[in-house]
Amino acid sequence: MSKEEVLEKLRRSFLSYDEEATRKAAAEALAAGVDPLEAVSVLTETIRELGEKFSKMEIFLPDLMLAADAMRAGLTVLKPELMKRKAETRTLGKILIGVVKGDIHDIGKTILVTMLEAEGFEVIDLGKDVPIRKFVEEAQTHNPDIIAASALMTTTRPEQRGLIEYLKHLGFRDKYKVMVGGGAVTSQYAEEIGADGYGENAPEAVEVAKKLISK
Amino acid sequence: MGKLRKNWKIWGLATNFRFVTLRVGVELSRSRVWELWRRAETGPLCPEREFDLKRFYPAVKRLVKEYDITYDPETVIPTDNTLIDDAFKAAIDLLLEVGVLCTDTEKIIKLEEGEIKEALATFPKEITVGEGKDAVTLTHRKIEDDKPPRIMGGPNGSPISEEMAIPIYQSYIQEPMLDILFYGTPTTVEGMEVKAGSPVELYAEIANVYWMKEAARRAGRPGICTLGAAGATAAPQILASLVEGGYKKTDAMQLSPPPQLKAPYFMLCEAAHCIEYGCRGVVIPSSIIGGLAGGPEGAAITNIAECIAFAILFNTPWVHPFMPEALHAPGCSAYPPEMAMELLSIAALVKHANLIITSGANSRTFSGLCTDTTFYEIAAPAIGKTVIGANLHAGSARKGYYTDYMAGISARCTGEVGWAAVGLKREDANEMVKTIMAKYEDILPPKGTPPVGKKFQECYDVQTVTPTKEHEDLYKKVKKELENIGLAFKY
Repeated sequence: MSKEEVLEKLRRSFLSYDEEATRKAAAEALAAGVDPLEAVSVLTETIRELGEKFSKMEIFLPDLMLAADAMRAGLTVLKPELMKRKAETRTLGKILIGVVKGDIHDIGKTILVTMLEAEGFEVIDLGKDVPIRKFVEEAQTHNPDIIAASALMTTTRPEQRGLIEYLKHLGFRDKYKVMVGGGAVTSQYAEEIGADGYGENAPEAVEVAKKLISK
Repeated sequence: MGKLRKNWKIWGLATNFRFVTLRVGVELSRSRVWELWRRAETGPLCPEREFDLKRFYPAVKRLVKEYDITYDPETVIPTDNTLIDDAFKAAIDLLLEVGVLCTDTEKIIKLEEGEIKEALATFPKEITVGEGKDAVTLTHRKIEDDKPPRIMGGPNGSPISEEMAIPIYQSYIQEPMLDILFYGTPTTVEGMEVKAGSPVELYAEIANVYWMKEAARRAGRPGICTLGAAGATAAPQILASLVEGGYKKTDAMQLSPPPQLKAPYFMLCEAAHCIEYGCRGVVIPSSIIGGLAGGPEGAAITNIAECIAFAILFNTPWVHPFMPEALHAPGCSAYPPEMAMELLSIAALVKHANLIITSGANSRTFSGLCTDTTFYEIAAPAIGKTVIGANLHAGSARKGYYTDYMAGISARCTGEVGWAAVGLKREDANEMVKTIMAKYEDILPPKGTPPVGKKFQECYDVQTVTPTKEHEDLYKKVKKELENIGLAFKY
């Protein structure tokens, strides 16, 4: 197979959201002497296209989640090779994200995670019902550029304020940008609690994250 | 005795060539409910991500294809009876194949076909809520039913300030067409920010029920049914039922399971509270278009399956189909795919199940108050949902995000339009709805920008709890326009 054919096979395997087939196609690409950076680009460009399709509601959340799983499977094969060659994959930035304590509504957060990954961010997803201390501890471990906290309920959004206060108290406030969002949060509230960014919906939040990173 | 006799019928089921007699008009016994809930501990294990991506979503996709369920933007109110029947069959197949995941144990609660059929056949077709002269009977309506819809209204869980809570609630209750009051979520109580899991949350729920009851007294309808909040745990609902002057057994509680087909233990605890306390629970599942269930069609069959599953698991015949869109419409009933798919879900449920249905004429409008588009956003779904067989729900404005953006005049518009739509045929109503939709389509996201409008205290006289002249005149103008397109108001 030519290089183009190998990369096309990788793209097709990835688009079928098949983890095993993507892993295999990535291995075949390496065996065929394809530059791992090129193979990674195929995956990142394709997932970006999927992200755009999702913003137009041409595909849906589970498709993006499955694609993200397949991408991770492909990267497990490609990344060690990249490291051997000391090549670096570029990410737009690192985001630590979670739904605040007391709130189990994580669909909006999951949508944002998949769209951020599709745009090329590295995302550490803490899931739902995440206590403030956990946000902070994980931030110290992963050193993200942005901490993003989501709240759907009016009664859980005070946790976002609490997170900012906690970071201030520890002297970490300037170390991270803090983004907030979710059904109970408005730009007005975000400003009131001193957040750096707010997105009303996932596509808007991705743009806000890009702006925060570029500052 | 007469009432008892009315609720008991002989139901012939040809099972093994002999007829069995079932009780009709009653919910499940406590032992049956516990038998179902026990499955959350004994059912097959399935991690949540595996449930979402390997079990649930592939089944939804396959069934949408197999039954050829399609969303046609040209037909907002479903007129194709085959589509309605197929959507119901697909939903039952989905429920039987996938079951419900208890997210605490990550085990599947499987429901058997016989259990579903029995519950759907035996649940009561009417329930009474509220007390005294303010008691109302909420009934199962049919497609193109000549029985007018009941009207539920209130802030719809959207944020309210403690200063405005009583006048806002009163503005709804004093509307003569309102039958049931729906709660709002206070942002503060006595100046303290309300925070989930804290004692302030408990206190806020107690304060909130007091405010609703006080507003009901001021409006002269002390016995009106108040629908209580869904919290992060069952504790606020329980405490607010136990205190003197709190929720009564004639009130109701919201039961909102997380998407999709999931029953966390705290939700079963809230249902247990309703069952043991003796008040009504209303199932409000959010089947998200573009979310885990996929596109509009997948969300529709999921919504039907969820209404049935949770009616059985929470042991209540009262369900409230609700289908937000993932990116732009967080429960805005006038958003075209959301309206069309909620209508399909309601049609399938009223045609094939004994359930009592309420659904949003305006769960949340995009527009703020005191704008003509907010009334159009209410009118279109109010017509569709009345004709398809639902009772109506009037909620908040500005997507439910902003504090105090809600008012009783929305319930007036919902009720008057709903009553005017009684007797319309689906085809005629569809044309009428499309004409109204054209009046607000330019403000819809992602391209349009909905008008911010005003909040309650800017378009109501707070002391007299009456709409400002500007607000009232605007409603009259829209009403006149609706008359011009053929809607015959009763008064």
